[in-house]
Amino acid sequence: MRHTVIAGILLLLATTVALAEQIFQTPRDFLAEVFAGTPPAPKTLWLTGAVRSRAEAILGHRPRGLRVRYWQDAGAPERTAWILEEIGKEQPITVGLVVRDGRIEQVKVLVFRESRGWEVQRPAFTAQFRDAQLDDENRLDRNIDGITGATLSVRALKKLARLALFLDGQVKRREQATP
Amino acid sequence: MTHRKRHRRIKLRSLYNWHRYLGLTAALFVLLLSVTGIMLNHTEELRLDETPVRAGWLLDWYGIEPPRRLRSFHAAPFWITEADGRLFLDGEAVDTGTDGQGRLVGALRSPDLLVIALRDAMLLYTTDGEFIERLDPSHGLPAALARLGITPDDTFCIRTDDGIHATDREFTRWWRDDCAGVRWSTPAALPETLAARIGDGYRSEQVNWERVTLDLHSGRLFGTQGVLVMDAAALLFAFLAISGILLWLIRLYKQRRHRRHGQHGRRRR
Repeated sequence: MRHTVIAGILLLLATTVALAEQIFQTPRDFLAEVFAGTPPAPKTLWLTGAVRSRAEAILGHRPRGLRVRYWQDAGAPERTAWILEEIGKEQPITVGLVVRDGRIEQVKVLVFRESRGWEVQRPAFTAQFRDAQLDDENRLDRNIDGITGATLSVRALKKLARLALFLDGQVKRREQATP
Repeated sequence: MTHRKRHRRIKLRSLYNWHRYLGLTAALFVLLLSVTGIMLNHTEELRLDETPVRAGWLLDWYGIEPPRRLRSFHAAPFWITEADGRLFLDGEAVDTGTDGQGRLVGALRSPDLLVIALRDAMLLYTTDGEFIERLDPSHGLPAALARLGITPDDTFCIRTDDGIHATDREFTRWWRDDCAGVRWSTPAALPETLAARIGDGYRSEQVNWERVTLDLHSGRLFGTQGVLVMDAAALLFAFLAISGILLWLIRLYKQRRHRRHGQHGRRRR
């Protein structure tokens, strides 16, 4: 009886977590949309040394992997697309970001897995990031208005916007160094 | 003293006694609820939600069984194991990403990389076991992986429902290839000591200390009876609060009356 009750509780929790996942757009569809139906092959950027330290400073924790992927059209190298993840409270939020000339062109929440804070996917919120760029201290050059009850999700999106801008800067710096 | 007054005094003493003895009984529950309540309020700082329970007796109490099925691949020196849907790199649980666990298909090592293939994803590690990245179909990885292989020149290959595909050094592109001389990853028998370690790890992954603290706080750790005991404790607290207020009011009333009588007496004199 006791085991049945506990198993029931665990199952209920698992179901709640599963139900909490909302897919607004798959990463593949996002890339297809960004690159007019034909996304280029992904490129890689290693997060090692100083790049890793700065990425860690932006996120407030160590980046999960040693390498991230990005997409860059050969015809428009000033534009890069990133699919990044950051935990809001407990679950990762998958976000698609496009950077053009060091400024945010688009932020889109693709998959939201938290039980609260889904409001960050609203276009009215994500539109605030448009044209944002980094200042000298790797912070956004503008204030992003928060959402009541979605503080942690808002914080996660701000971190990802900063990270995408920072990584885009690293890509451009690497390209300038190796023409 | 009249019979009525004596009767009232006995009743009052009885209330005092009940309040005292039930208060002592309640102290245990107050302590338990206070400690677990504080712990739950600071679950993130105390990392209770991230700390798995390793005590075997507690996992037994929860009825957490060891995994029924282990499937392992040996990419020397690493052992990669799937235990009932959970992935382990040697004895440590691996977070396979956000889109489900996926079935383990194979694992191989090249001089630079350790590659773990799941049905719909691929995990890359350095040869020191440091996580590099997770690949899925959004990164161009072909869907529905069935096998993982490596050619004599260290090119990684996969077999899918769609045929055999090879990839470049950075896993950015995949193309159809016959992968001549490929060596496919095959399951291997896991050493018993590691199997036991993974069994323990699998069990401890199921329950964390936040769950235990919450169950202790609600009494659910002891099943339905535990919940009923906590309900009784809550009623006890309510009784103590009411009896405490009542006793305080009676004492206040008595003190005032005593003071008033004293003043009357002095005035008469």
